[in-house]
Amino acid sequence: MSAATNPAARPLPQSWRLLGSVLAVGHLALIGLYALAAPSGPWQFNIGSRSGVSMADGPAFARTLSEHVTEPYFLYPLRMTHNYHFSSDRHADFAVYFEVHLTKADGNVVHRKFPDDKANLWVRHRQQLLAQNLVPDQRLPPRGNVRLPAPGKELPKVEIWFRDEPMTLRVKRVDENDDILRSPVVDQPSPWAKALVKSYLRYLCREHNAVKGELIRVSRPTVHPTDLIAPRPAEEFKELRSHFEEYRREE
Amino acid sequence: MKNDGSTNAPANADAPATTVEPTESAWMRFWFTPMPTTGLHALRVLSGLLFLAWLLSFLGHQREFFSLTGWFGKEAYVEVQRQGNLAPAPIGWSMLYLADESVEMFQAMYWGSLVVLALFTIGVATRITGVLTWVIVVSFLANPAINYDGDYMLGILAFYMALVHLYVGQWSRDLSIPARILGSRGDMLLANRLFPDDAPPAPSFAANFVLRLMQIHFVIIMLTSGLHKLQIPEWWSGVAFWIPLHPTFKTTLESLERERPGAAFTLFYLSLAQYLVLAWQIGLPMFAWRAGWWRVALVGGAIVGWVGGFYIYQLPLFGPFMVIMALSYLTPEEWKAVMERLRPRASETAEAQAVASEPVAVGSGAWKQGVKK
Repeated sequence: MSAATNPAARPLPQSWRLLGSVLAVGHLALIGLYALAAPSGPWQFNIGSRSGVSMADGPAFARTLSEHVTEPYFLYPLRMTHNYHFSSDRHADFAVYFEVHLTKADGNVVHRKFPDDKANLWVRHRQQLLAQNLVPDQRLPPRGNVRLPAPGKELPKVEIWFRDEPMTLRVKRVDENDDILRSPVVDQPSPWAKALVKSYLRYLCREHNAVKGELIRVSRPTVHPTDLIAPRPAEEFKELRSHFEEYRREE
Repeated sequence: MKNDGSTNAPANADAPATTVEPTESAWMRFWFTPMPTTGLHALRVLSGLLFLAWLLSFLGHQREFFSLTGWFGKEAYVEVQRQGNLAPAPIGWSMLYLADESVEMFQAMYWGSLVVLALFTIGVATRITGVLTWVIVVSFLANPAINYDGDYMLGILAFYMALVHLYVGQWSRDLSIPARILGSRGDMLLANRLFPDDAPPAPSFAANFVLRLMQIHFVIIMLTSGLHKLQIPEWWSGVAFWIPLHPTFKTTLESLERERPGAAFTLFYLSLAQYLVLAWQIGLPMFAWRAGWWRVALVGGAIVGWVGGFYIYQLPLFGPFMVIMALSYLTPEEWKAVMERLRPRASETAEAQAVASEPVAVGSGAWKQGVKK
């Protein structure tokens, strides 16, 4: 960038070169190890009478070193805790947007939809990321024997998705021993989705001075190229509306 | 790494660009050959522009996205940690937590961050602004509700940019104390016009060393990502691009019916394009360090990836990150050729003299000829 001639660089001592080599190999090895330690799959498995699909853990040496050394002491402080298995490569099972209904003290209701079609591309993208965090739901494990409460206590309630009309789900709290929990397929919102919904409704209620808010997730199974050849039933192209628990502002 | 041995060999006997002995091993030549900082400055400007565009994209929504009074508020952070870190990605440290629930403090941090990123981009006090840039980029990754893979890639880029600017010139240049602490004024954009009397900087060991780290890190990212894709049924069967091109809420049974006659044709080309992407990613270590027309595959592939990724996935960050990382493989000679083409014609003669007198580190004559055509 200049008209003059560059001076030569002073030679680097051998000891510095060795130190640099060690640091370079160590740094890159730890990054490679972290990528190797990531789970892979899903893979088909068939062990005895059990079969299905499951993720496979990374090799034990990589996992152990990553969990106990690499991540806590090196990659986490540097915020390099990504294993380069990009989630965007894996297609979501459901496409999602959500609606919010905010009720003000005077009874007026404000309706909002996210992602907001009027927002710019970057903001819409972030709103879409928030929406996508609301899926998937969590499947309840099979129930065992009838549970008894501790003396003087009540059994905890279980939150489940309950279908109260076609293509509509609502969160319902049922007893631990409710027969509905013995159905083969019972889903509930994931703790992560619930935390997000609560946080977002808290924010919106505060911003709009609303007394309560409700978030409705609207989802549809992702369209797949197999639908070109053998389309799924028309029912699967309809939108499923899932009403999360209402949030009430405490003041 | 095929041409690393010759990458930084002097182009002519008068150019004292390197201090590498011909007897040194390929390893030492690869890592410890000092290089001119032209390419590094270009990468810094491009990275800085990317960081600025990223942070500016939140303008008007910064509080709702990142403040502890926003979408993911203080109570949510506490609750998520209390329940055993529910977030899909680890929630790390962030300078934004210092603002707590003070909106004024948060806004001051946001606007201050933009100023720091701008200063780093134009090359002011790069040792300080480089580290601050990394702190800023990492801090804005803190919201687990809205961050995605592309954000983490910016953290990697910022880390290497901070690292290289911290060390560049510390050994190979005779710097004043302020320049050792703040950075050389020669780092500034248009420094050769602002300070025409300054002696040109000596080639830097740190520039080469950190760029090598970046290059190998990028190969690890692309290779891992490519191999991971092959574990996903849609990528293996070649329909991965078809799905995002058919947004679920806009696709109906009728639209699929209309598409059916040409489906075989569409799937053929989409699967071909998709496997070209896989070939680029998995094959990267084999051509990333090769000169000549392989550079077209490297940089051109990254640019096509940017355009394609944006069009298909609507992802705004992966593309520019890939292009900047791909440019990190260019040799000093190749950067010189690029700069020559970018310079305005009016100053062509004077600049040509300057270029001619600078030491040249050789990558490949073929590239140079190719560019000059």
